Amino acid sequence: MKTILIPVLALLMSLWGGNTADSPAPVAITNCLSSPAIADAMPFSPEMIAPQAVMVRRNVNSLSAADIASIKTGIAAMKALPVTNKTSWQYQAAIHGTLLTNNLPSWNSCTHGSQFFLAWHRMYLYFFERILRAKSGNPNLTLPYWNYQTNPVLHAAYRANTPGNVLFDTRAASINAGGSLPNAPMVSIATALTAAVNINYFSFNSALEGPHGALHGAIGGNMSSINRAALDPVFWLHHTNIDRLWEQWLRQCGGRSNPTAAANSPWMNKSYTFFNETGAAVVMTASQVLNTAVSLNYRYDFPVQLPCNILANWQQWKFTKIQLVKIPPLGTLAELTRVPFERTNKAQFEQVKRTNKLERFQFANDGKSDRLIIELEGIQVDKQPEGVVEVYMNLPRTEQPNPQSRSFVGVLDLFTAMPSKAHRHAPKAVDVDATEAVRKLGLTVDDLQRAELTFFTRGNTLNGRPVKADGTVRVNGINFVINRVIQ
Amino acid sequence: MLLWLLLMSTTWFGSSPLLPSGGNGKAVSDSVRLAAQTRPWLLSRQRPGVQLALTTPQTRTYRPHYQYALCFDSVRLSRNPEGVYEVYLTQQTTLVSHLKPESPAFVGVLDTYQLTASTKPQSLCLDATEAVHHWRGASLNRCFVSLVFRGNILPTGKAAQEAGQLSGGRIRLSSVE
Repeated sequence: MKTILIPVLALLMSLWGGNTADSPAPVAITNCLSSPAIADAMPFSPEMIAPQAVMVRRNVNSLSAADIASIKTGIAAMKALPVTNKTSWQYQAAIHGTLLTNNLPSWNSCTHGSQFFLAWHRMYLYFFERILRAKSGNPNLTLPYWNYQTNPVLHAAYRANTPGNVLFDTRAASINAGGSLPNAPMVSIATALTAAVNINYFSFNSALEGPHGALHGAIGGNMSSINRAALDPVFWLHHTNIDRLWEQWLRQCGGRSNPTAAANSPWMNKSYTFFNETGAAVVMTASQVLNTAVSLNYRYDFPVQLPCNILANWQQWKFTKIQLVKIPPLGTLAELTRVPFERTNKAQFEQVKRTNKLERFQFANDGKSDRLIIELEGIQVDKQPEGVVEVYMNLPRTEQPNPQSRSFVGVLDLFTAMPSKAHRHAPKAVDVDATEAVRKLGLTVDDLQRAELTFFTRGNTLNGRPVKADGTVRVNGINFVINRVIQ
Repeated sequence: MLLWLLLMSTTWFGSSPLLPSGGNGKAVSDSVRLAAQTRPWLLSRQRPGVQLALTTPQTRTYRPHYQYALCFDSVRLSRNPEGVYEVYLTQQTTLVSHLKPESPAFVGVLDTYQLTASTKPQSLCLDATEAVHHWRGASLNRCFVSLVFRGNILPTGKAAQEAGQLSGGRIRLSSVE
């Protein structure tokens, strides 16, 4: 962590509530004025978003001319509206801060120097993006980001001082002339992302705010003042990048995680009011912005990466392995094989549960989560099927096997089980991680003794029709194993 | 988080122990002001870099598991710079022109944006832990803070010269266990 600003009011708030090393300081009051309450604001819900594919926010330098034109159209439409219109450019900018004295709802509600710096700005960007998208008439518009770490020169479209260019604003002469930002804030950002002291979310939040602010100053013009910054279109490039850096920090894993409800409920429940594209007031809580793809329907153009709990947990945390259920040999799998577990010795199941205090699954989003593993012992592939073997848990009798089903667990890794010169000691054990299926099905540990597995061999498709898979796969036993993090 | 609390508490109370026990506040009684200087300072186009000695009358030793904060009091931005203000912490006097953000002495950049929220002078603090840890056990009785303006880079490759005008007063180095 490199930079932390300490407003005196935030200090007073710290004295007001308890702090621990693992939880945030109490809610800090910003230097901004308070704005009038909004009586008819509705609570935000992800269901309010029309179902569609998750949208991707991209680097401004990767946008096409048409993409830039859409942004200009949207900004021009917003700028054409009177300041009192909640979807106008000026109204939206005033939500961050304004020198105007007619303090309208949600104006001057910016949060700086507090643990809500990242969360508040994520909300702010989200609603602004919805408005801009609607005004642009382009349903695919997303906010682009300026990755000044890789390109410290502002995009030319924002610098062109031509009549009618709504992306232009008065800034530091060097920036609008195509000059570069200095390197020092980039060094501080790198430290915020990588330093061990910033593995805690709230430390990262503070550490990123310092260089963020220095960049505001270096860009100059409206951007250098909290009360005018959001009037400059570059504000949205800059803050979308800050929002992206939050995601980048998370993707580094190593114990980095968002706040969780158990430890941070005051933070999670803190709410702010914004306006959607219709001008309706919407109340959003910090807990609703933690998973952008799920709650806010957007992500960044990062390459695909496995979740941290797959990448890191297995090395970083010690697990205890609790064998719950052992199923006798199944023999050869038919095209559709159902394996009910009711034949399991119930007394033994209860004994294992009691001994290991397995009252419930302990699921968490930070990767320190119980995992239910289905171990298939002694798999022998006498003939590789021309397709895959799908595994389902508690597949309803009325439902055809389908990977879209919430009962879908995964496919068997028959490659590992195949005999080869390198792997002589077949038959092999193959694991299938059923954690997500258990979570989706809402199963308890108790439910496992009544669970049913279904194996379905699905042939490849040829000319639109499935071929007969025609394989011979034998399974000599199944274990249910819970991998639990040792605290 | 503890450091965050320390930074806030040093800003307000300025002496150790920094926060009272009891009530809802959590006492941070083990934070210590290590060194300070009280002279006013100014950064401007005529003076784009300053180096100030922080001293303490008592012997203070480095502790590897402590965290360290560098706080600037009464900071006021009278004119915007066309660039950023870098902060360095060194044990010896160093030519300001030799200081680079990639060096271990680099503490961070001052968040001038925050200063625009109020017309009153404010306190700014930075986490100096990594810079202090780099000293590896040396005495903390005397150290040097450097404030350096670094201009945006013009397309010609030259740096912008408008250093703005930034002034301040007391500077403190504190530690917390």
